[in-house]
Amino acid sequence: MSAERTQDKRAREGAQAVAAARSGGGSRMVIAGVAIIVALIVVVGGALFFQHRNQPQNLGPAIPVAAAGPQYPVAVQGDSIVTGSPQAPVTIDIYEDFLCPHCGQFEHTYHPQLAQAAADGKAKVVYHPVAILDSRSVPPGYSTLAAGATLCAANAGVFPRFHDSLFTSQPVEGGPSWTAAQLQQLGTALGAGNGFTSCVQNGANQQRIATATDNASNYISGLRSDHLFGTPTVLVNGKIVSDISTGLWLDQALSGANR
Amino acid sequence: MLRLSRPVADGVGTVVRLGLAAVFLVSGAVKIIDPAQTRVAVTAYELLPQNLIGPVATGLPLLELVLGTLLVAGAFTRWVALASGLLLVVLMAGMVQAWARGLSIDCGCFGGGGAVAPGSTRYPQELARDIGFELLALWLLVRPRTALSVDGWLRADPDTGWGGAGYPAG
Repeated sequence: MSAERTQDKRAREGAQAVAAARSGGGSRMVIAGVAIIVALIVVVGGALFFQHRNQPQNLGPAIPVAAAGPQYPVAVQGDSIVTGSPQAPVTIDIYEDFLCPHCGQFEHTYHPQLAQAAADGKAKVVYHPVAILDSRSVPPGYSTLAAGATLCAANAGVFPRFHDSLFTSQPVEGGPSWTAAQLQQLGTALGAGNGFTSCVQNGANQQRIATATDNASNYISGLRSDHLFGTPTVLVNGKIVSDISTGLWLDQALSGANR
Repeated sequence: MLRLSRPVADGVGTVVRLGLAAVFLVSGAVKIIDPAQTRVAVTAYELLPQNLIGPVATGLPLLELVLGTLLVAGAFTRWVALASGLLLVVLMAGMVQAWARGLSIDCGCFGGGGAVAPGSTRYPQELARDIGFELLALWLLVRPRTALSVDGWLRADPDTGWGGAGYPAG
């Protein structure tokens, strides 16, 4: 055993001497070191590349003001904002969170048609601002802040462009969001009076939005077989629209096919 | 006490090493490719000042990726195991304090994260999972020898002869 080991060792030392003479020694360390450094550079570099690509963009100093659309009547009713004629043949209810990306997509796709329908007296479009994504902005609470400020804007007579501006320049989920000061600035730029600024500032609408969200959640989940509530939820004459991925629902609603 | 033969223990160690590597690579990757979500997850612990949230949301996944890469390679296994164990302790401490303070959050360990509805927290499961990972790190800390590793390859290097004594030749 011991003799065998000695022999073993001697053979290895011989091989070492040959290898050292050939390579200058420590070649495996060099190879391993280079390979590990290259691997780490690739991993960290790739990671930072993907992170940078997916980084939410910074918001500007002020909320860009959306262009004026068709004119339609606006009335605040409880915690919702009724647009268009109350006598319109069809009622479309929209539950939306100002941070929710699908709500932004919904607004982007359907808002022009909805605003036109409200202006033409073809539809009563009721907006229900709710806050379910408060935790997902930096700092948290944008959903409630924006929903509350939108009620203030409706009372101050500047709802349409205020609402449109917030969706056109919607903050990204998980990223920085608009501040109360920026919302005040937007409303003021649209011609809202002094009452608007204090309305946004004192957060009196906070509790109101929380209650409205609870009520909306209870109401909508009661209508659904899976008892869930998400945004956007769209109702045509009190019935949930199951598919808003194409414009068919809106065409049908406006042509009276759902009545 | 059960004693494993060296090849068996090396084999177990290899599985442990690659398993822990997979944990870190996956958790690091899902965090780094969704920076906004990761910020939400870090913010939800309500532990860090605003100006540290960004650096942690970037640094933590990078650290996980580096540890994962070194574990795949099997380089500096004992040191990497020590760092992994310490990182897991810090992460578990974050979860325990959130639990103790009654925060309703998801740990965001593998992506996701942020506030969840009260009553749908999963602190015990998340902690149990992390304790499992901690055991993997401890194995490698105590017994860093594994097969298919850079460490082993260097140990067998005829040039340097690192730890050559007692290492089976060939």
